[in-house]
Amino acid sequence: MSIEAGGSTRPSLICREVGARYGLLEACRNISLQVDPGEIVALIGPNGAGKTSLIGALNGTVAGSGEVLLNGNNLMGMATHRRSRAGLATVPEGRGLFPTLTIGENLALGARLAPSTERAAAIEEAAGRFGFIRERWNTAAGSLSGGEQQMVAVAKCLAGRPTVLLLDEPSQGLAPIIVGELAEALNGLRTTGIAILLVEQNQTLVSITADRFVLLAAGQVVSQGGRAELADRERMAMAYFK
Amino acid sequence: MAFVEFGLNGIFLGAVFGLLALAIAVVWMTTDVVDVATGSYAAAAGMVAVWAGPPWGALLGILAATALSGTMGVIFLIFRRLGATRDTILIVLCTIAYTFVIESALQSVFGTDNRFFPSVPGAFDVAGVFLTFQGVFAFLLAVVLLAGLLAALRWSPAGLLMRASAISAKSASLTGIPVRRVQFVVFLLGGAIAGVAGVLASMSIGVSYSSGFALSIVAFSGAVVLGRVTVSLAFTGGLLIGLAIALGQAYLPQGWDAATAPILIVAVLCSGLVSRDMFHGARP
Amino acid sequence: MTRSVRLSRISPVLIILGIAITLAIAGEVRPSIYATSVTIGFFSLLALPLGLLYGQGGAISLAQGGFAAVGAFTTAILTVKFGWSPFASLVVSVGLPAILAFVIARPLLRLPELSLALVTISLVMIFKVVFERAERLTGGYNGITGIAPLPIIGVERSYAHWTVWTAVLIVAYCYASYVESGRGRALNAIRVDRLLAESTGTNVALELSSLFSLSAGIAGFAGWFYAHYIGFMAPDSLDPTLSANILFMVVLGGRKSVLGPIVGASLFTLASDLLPGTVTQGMIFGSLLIVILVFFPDGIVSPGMMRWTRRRATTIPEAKNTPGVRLERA
Repeated sequence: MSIEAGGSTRPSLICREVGARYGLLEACRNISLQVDPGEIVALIGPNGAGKTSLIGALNGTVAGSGEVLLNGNNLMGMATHRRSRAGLATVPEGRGLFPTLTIGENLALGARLAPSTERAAAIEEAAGRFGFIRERWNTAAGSLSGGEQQMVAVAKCLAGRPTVLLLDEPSQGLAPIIVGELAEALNGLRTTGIAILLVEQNQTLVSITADRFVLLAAGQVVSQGGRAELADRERMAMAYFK
Repeated sequence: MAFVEFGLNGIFLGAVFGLLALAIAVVWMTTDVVDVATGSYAAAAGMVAVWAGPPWGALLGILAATALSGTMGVIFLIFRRLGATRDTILIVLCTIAYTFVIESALQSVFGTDNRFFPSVPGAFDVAGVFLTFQGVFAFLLAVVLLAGLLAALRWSPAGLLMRASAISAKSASLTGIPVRRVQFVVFLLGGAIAGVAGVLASMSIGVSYSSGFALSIVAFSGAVVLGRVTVSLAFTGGLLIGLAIALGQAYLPQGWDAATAPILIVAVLCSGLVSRDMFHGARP
Repeated sequence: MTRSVRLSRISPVLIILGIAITLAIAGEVRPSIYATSVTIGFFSLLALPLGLLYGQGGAISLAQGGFAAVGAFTTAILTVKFGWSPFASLVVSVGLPAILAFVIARPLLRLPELSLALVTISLVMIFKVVFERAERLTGGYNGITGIAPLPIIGVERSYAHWTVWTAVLIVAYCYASYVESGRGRALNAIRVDRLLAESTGTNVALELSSLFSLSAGIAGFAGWFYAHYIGFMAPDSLDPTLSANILFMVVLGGRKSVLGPIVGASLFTLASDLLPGTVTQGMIFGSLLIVILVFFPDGIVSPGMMRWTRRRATTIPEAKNTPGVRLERA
């Protein structure tokens, strides 16, 4: 596995035998993967494969088991807000914005996770990544278009200077052209050294952003590999698991 | 003129209900719990204030109310910790049981009398309308508190955290906000506001050990009467309920005014004016 | 399969019959126990239909005590002021709350739980104001005294015991049969997913309204019985606190089973008999309620604790004869 990406030799996120369950129902188990700084790893697989549940187990919104190491600290068992403070940011399904608050307030809330001296700079930097944010600073986040909301959601996470960013289906409900913009933005994050775990069904987005992919089916890892192998493997897997 | 006089005095009385409605609304919006014991916190504040006497009794009363609501906050946190997906109605039932506890405690300590804290003396006359300084004082204090709360919610960092937690507990905790702690602080805040309302009540209508439940019902009707539940609408609703009750006292046969608040609750909730979302445990 | 179904319908009824017989034997030895058992039976009559409505249909109500008060005042007014026979007034005592409940059910039962709780408790407060203010009919705060005892049953405690427990047995049997029936299963689907239940052709509104009306009717019957047994009815006799307590009985006893409300009613009666003092009782009682709600939100008779409660419910300890919430003729 590549460990040079982003110029660091230490992986940001390591999952060891992570499982997620809802009461008696086990959504996924025994999932081990790692994401290096500046790397984008796509978590793919058919509906019901356990992708979103895995994200939940990582950020603490779903009961999980196993180990989630972030810069060497095990997050499993911690409360959700502590995991966020430790540097694990999530853009959940539905984007996780506060729709009645303004864009500025959303970013300010995100920036609370950055060290207090860096907050202003962090907001500035995050806002600068998406041109429209500055212009519509005092607009309620809920009044933006789906694509804009997705970008504000990413910016809100970036403002907190996270180590790892979990993105759950960012392309959902977006027009293809917007997906392209989003991909561009994600690729632009590579230089910041943030490790990104991207859950995605949209093949275009995966193929233009992901460095590697992990294929999940029926709650387990069935295959993984680099971007080159992605196209064949995914097509095959999708056909197989349909 | 009599109508205007009843109306104004009703609005002054409504200041107490407005504050209580406000207390119920902030807790409701942030935790999904309608704290039925809110009126009892107010009753406790009034009783303690009367017992300790002016001037510090008022402060002591407010502290007592805050301590009581803080205890409810702790119960809420334990309840949530033991099961995050539990039915919110159970914690509402807890607040009803807590009302019994507070009523019984107040009765054993202070007895059954309706008690009064010394009110602001004096009255004045504006174009034939007779008003008390106490009423004006209560109204102004309530408005100042409301303005302070709105300003704090709008501009302070803590206010932003509260607003975010009220919108979505899940999104808030993913943003690193310690939602449970915010909710606890909101319980304290609700208790303190109810405490102020209780002291004001003891200065005008008086409080007894059993005032709590009726105060809660009146306050809840104030919180929902305008359809949407927000801080300022709850307060305004409380004022209107005060007005309705005062006019009821003046123009309805004696005693029927007690039905004003429950009738409004039935009418407003059954008409579907209040959004269903307010009643759904949006918490994960 | 059919055998186990029938057993599950009969066994709670048998357990209740066991409780009733045990209490009757104890009552013959110590007559004061009859007072306790009549009180338990009265509360059970109010709590059982609410258990069905809430536990199976998911619709909460804080109005059971209020409907009982309507039934009690109806018979008090008709028999004392208009000279009706108690059996003629029974029809009205049951019918009036039932019809009232059916009429208000439509807008009410659409409401989410929390809102429904607050609306029903408001209804009870309105009832109370009406009882206090319609002085010419209800006697205002003083209420109505001198309500005649029922013929045959009279004030004889053992007869009262068997009257109220027979009613409890009938209601429990109907409850158990209903849950097993197709309509009962459909009702249960309402609680889980209302939209789904509607899409399978269940008339959710009608089903819930009927149940709400039925539980109000049974409460009216309980109130009718209460008025004639106690001989006195005032607005404070069956007040809003009673309605809250009935709901607590259901929740604490276990809202998902037939036995739950009866266990809840028993514990409540015993607790109010055994706890010291009337003034400090609320503190102990309320704290206990909170502890149970927080730590056992499913109540005592939850599926996992079934076996444990079966042993317990048949061996209710003897009660001391102390004042409290109990039914004794004034």
